[in-house]
Amino acid sequence: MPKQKGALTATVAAALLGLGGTVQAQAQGIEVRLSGQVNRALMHVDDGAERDSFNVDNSNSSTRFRFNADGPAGAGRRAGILFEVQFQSNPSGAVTFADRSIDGQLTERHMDVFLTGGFGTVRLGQGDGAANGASEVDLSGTSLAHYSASPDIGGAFRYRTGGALSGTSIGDSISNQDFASRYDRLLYQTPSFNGFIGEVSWGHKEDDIVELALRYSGKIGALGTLAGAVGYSNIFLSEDAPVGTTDDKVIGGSISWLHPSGFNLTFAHTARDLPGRDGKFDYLKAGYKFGRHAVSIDYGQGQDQAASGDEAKVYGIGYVYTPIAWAEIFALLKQHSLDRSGASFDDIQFFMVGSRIKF
Amino acid sequence: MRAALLMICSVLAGCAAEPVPYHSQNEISRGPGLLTGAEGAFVFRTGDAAPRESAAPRNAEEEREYQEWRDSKRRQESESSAK
Repeated sequence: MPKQKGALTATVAAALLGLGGTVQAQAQGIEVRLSGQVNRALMHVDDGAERDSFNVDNSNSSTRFRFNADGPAGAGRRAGILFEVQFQSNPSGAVTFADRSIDGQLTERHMDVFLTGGFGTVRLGQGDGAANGASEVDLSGTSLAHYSASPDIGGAFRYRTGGALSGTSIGDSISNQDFASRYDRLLYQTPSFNGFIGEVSWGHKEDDIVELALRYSGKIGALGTLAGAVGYSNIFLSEDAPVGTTDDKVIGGSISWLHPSGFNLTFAHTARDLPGRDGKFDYLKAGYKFGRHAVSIDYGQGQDQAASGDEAKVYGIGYVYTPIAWAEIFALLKQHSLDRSGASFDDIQFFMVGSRIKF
Repeated sequence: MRAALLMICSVLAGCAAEPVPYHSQNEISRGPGLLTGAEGAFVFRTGDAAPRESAAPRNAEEEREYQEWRDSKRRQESESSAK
């Protein structure tokens, strides 16, 4: 790996030096764009022993703003930057009964430079890994309310057993295991071949990460629109990792179909190498879009994630209304449950209603 | 599983499917904005930069939303000018 790192770093440096010269020569015709959104909701939670309401930032699509710019870089190429940060006060995936108020923090999402052209796109910096989102492809129009990453709403709440809080949270037991998310990486994306795009990335958080993905999105005549992705990630654990731990590998994907009538189906599956077991995740959503409305029901199941033999489930119904193009109103009702041999956990219910406004 | 995946990919690549960009609803939408209007962003252009396709809606639904928003805006403007 160290030799690969050296060669890769040299290649990237050479490419950026070359790019620097080109951009300097043609530093005109630059377009700079600033955009963002605010996404707030009221969330009510009942864990079987305690219930309360929360004023949250919807982590399904957090409050954030973006600054991006690009310009011609010669020979039909464009170069630019993407800078995006989020600012969440009371993130819906982090609040608990014990911690109802969490101060807003500016956290990174994207900070990268890119070069795009007939060869595809190369990105360098903080941003999506190649497989990020590959288990979250969803054409239902209700992702604001619910999607495969169910812990984004209430993920920090812990199950109760015998009235006492257990050590297992919703997020521990039913993650969609969406690969390595965002990190500092070098990413290459191929051009589109009949709707297919391949991606590969290499980078690191604490440990080195390699990801691969194949994505598709297209209209299939009278059958409507189909989108999907398959991905693979491997986080190479460092040499000082505890004995018995393994590299963190995830494989899986998702597919979503939207019929012209508005009926839609979404499915996701991932499997993750965990010490002594495979953590599995399955997700199914059926929905209907009509006019400015979208409604759906979903079912998710996590197996062996928090502990061997665990089976966590989520059932939900979500609704999104788009009265005007820059505003959406959403509602969600869902229930989480956890089955574990030798223990009995209370279900946790959520009701959430809120609005996202793009500014 | 792999065979099924390969078959699906081959069929999609070989048939007359029309590629369309996928845009996650969990990201900032590509439509208009409350303050930024039809562009959906505060845009600064230097030199000979022309408005780019990226400012426009990318799929049928966003196109419909954009047209509805534009029509309502025109109605509001014509109503206010009539007064």
